[in-house]
Amino acid sequence: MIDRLFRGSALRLATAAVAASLAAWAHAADIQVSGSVYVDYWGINNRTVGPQQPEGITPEAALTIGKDIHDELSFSVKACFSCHGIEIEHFQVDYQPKNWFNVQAGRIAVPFGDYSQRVDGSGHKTVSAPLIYDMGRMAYGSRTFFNEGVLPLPYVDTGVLVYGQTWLGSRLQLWYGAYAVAGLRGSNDLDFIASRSIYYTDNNNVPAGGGRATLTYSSDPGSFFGDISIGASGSAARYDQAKKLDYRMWGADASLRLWKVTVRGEYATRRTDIDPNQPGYVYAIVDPWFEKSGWYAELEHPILRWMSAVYRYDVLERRGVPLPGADAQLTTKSTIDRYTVGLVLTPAAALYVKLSWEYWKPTDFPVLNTGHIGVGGAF
Amino acid sequence: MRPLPTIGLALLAAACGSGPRIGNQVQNRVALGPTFYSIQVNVLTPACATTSCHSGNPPPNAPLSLDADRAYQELVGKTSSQTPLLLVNPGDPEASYFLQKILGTAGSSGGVWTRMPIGAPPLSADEIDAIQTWIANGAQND
Repeated sequence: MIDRLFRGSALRLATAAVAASLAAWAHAADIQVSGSVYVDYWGINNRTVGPQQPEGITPEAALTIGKDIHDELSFSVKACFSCHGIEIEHFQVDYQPKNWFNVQAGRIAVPFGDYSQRVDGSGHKTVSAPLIYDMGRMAYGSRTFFNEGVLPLPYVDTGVLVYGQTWLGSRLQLWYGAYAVAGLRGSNDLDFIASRSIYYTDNNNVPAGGGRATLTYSSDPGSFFGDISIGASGSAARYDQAKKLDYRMWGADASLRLWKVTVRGEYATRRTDIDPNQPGYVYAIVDPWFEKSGWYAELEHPILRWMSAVYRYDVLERRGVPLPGADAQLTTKSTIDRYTVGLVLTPAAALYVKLSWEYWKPTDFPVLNTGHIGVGGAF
Repeated sequence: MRPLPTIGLALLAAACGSGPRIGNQVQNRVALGPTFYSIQVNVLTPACATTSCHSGNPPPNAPLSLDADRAYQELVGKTSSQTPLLLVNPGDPEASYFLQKILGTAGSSGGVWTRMPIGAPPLSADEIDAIQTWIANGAQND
């Protein structure tokens, strides 16, 4: 017992010493270090569905290290640990000579949709991502069911992003970005695990092109009508090794603040070519592609200084021939509706607790109730 | 003809998305059974021939293509790169390295213990049974 206590204390002391050394080194070298930790428990009421989903406890951690090389050039690397093990979320240099012209290159976070700006656990109030952007924490999201949403976020890829912002008058601000990246990978549908796996290179030498623009109206501080923002995103490429199959996706988003209430909504859609020569299709293929689209509307407001509430309605739809090997229940027009309510508690500045309940109503699969509880912190 | 409403309606139609046209049903779902076609459709294509693993010619990260147009010729009667065993030894499931990899017992015959599909749930008992019976029946290209 004493031995175990001693070893526990020694481990904590050693960890604290390493952390203190890292902090001292970072301070001395003028290196910015930040990170976050989040642990989530996801419970599913339907035991026949549960084993197919990643229910249970999921730990996530992220560490970002940045260094300003000079006034216009910086370097940043972010590593994450989650369901896929350790991966590099970004590894980039950022050249920022002008507000209206900047260049980011390396392994970069590709801007697609408003949610791509809020994807970190501390940046959104719900536990789960919207269905259109979910990454692996989705009922019926596995490969033989929906195979995720439109685009799992964060979307990280290898390439170059040119971006900037400019004021149009005194209240309107335009942000814009255009990129060329390796693009998503797959074979007869996208394979999101492969797209995030090393080697971080293009599988077919056909890069993806795309862009995003947002227009924000800035209001006076304290006014009832707060900032209003609208945005649009698009991207397209070929995804298979043989360079025959395309995907193209686009989305639109808007957000509005009314006093202390934030309202936002997004729509996203992706058309993905399929290989009609694969054996096992149940239907004759007329148009060799399927479409996945959806939207969500979300409202959040504070209840107390340390508590806020969030409500969201989500829809995700898949239209098209089920792929060979798909679950037998998947039809040619399959939809999932999801209703979410959640609370976020912030008992301390860098600590948050998230609770949420989700009601899933698919057209092709059993109805589900799921609950999340998560604890996170940032430093 | 008023161009603006027409363009607006076209954009709205595009935004709502009419979806792809779908033909008639041409066959029933391929039930899982001890035939190669069934195993390809229900097991190899969704679980093995993924971009990060056994898809492509050659696959970028794995030695064996299990795409529908290559799987049979790459599996049946071919020697494993990890042991002297055949990947699929027609009529002899126990001496088939492919089955050992799926069961996670490959280390016992001098191969690599890692169970396939790697990083994913094991194949179901029904799927394993279908593969085992298909091999025992002679591993026909049926």
